[in-house]
Amino acid sequence: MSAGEAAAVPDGPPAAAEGPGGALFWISAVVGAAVVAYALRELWSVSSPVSRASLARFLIGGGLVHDALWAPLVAVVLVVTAQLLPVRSRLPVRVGLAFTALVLIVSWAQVRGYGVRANNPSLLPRDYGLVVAVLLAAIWAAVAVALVVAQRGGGGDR
Amino acid sequence: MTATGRAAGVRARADEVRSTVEASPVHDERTAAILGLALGVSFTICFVTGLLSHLAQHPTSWFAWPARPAGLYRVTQGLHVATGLASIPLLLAKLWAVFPHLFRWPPFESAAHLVERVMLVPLVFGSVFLLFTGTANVMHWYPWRFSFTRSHYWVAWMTVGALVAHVGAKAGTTVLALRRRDTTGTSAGATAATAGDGVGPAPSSSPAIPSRRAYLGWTAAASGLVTLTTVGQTVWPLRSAAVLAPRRPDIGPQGVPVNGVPSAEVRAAATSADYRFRVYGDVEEELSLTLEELRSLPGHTAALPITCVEGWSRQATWTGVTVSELMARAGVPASATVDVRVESFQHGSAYQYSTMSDEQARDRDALIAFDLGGEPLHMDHGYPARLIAPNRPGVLQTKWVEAIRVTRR
Ligand code: HEM
Repeated sequence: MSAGEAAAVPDGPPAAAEGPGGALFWISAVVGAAVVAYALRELWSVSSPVSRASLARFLIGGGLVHDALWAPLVAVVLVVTAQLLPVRSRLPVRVGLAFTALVLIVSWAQVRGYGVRANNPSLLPRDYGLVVAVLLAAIWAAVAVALVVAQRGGGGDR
Repeated sequence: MTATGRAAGVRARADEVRSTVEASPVHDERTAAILGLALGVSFTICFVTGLLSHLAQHPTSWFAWPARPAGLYRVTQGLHVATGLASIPLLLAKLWAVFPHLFRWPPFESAAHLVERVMLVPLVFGSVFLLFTGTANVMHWYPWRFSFTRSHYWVAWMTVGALVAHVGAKAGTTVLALRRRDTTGTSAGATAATAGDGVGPAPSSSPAIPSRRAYLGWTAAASGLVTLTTVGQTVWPLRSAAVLAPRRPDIGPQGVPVNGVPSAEVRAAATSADYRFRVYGDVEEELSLTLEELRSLPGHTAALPITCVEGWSRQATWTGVTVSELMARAGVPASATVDVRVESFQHGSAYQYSTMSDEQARDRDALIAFDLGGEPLHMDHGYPARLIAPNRPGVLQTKWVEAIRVTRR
């Protein structure tokens, strides 16, 4: 993104363009790095080999899933929606997709019922599949309304 | 289409994406700064409330978790889980805003810049880990083989360490980005700034790219949706909206949710005709009471919340005998400073014992309870007797109690 940054410099504040440095930077970097190092040591020492492997998998895996799968997927969705949809329809559909993804993310474990225990009915007491269906229906109903409003308002500039 | 033609098409598409990204206020400094500030606040709340939860469960020589206010832990842990869940959309929005920087070239421009970027690794990986493990944990989903509490605890320290470095690196940029008048907050960036009046945000000139306001507004709405659909697990008036929460505070035996259920051994011991409740240790006279004898002692009724570490809670009415009354009957002088260990039938489990400081044990509402809502405790709530005392995490409200041991300091 170097071209973009160069382009951004004229209206960016000069200090921001100078890059990091200075006393505040170095003090917080040293203190922060020390805390990180100590925490990593403790993480290592409180875990057994089996749990260490599992911990490494989740610690590294989570960030990787975000950077290598999730964010590229978002980029692809942006490109595809740009291809398929007229300009005025894009934002409502994209917001609808984002909310759909969010609802699926925060309800995944409940819908799959991973935590359900036959001897504890108060745990995960709802029909989460139904809940998600209703939430998604509401989200897409709102998107449909927004699309109609957008069409009325603009007449389409594509 | 030929291969070269296709390649040219892809390149053109990539250029289009790049120029869209560059023009988009979604990916600029001000958006990153505002979301960074929001996450800074939410992670600080999570860290402080998390540390308090840790201290409540692992008292140290320099910090004794107080017995009052009775609902303090309910607030701090409710806040911990609610803030953590609300941070999910914030983190996703922030990472998306700064995602283009991942590919910046050259990757760093100075030693300081390299340090800054290296510290992003524990920050990003730690943040994703905390939100994932925290959420999975409250849903009772354990796809891993490490100890949740210890890992979540130390990754929290790691993440906050990286956050300190990040704040130090970004404080200047953030302040400037926040102070600058919001003239580029709209979709077409610089063009909008010229087209607009130069004061408030100019109207979006292309409806395809969200303005900063729209991006931040939808992010806030997403956090709001997560909160609305979960926070009713502890905020009673919102209980019927808590459709995605793992608990509803009014669903459970006797209208109260349950976390741990008894094993067959615990169940057998708890229902045995030989049940005796014992008070022993540094006492004048050991007590060994049948359930009938325990129930016939002078009783006390208290309205106290049961608050799970997992973020749900429920206010309820409990009846039993106070720990002080039991100690007095065993001849422990009111002037003695004591530690009390409450002992359960869960032999060999992490929940077999919980301890109370003198202040906690002598609180007027610290009860060995046998009734909930005027009825004998349901087996899942700790029949025949359980501890319920003010301001304690649920894991320390020991169930299926067989004894209390008094130690004088
Ligand atoms: C979705 C987000 C999160 C959820 C649902 C969540 C959930 C939890 C739960 C259930 C506990 C109690 C563990 C227990 O005592 O058994 C806990 C403890 C804790 N959390 Fe979180 N958490 C989240 C995010 C965070 C974040 C972002 C931080 C720090 C920046 C954090 C720091 C801590 C700390 C320090 C503890 C104390 C651990 C201990 O007692 O040793 N959490 N969290």
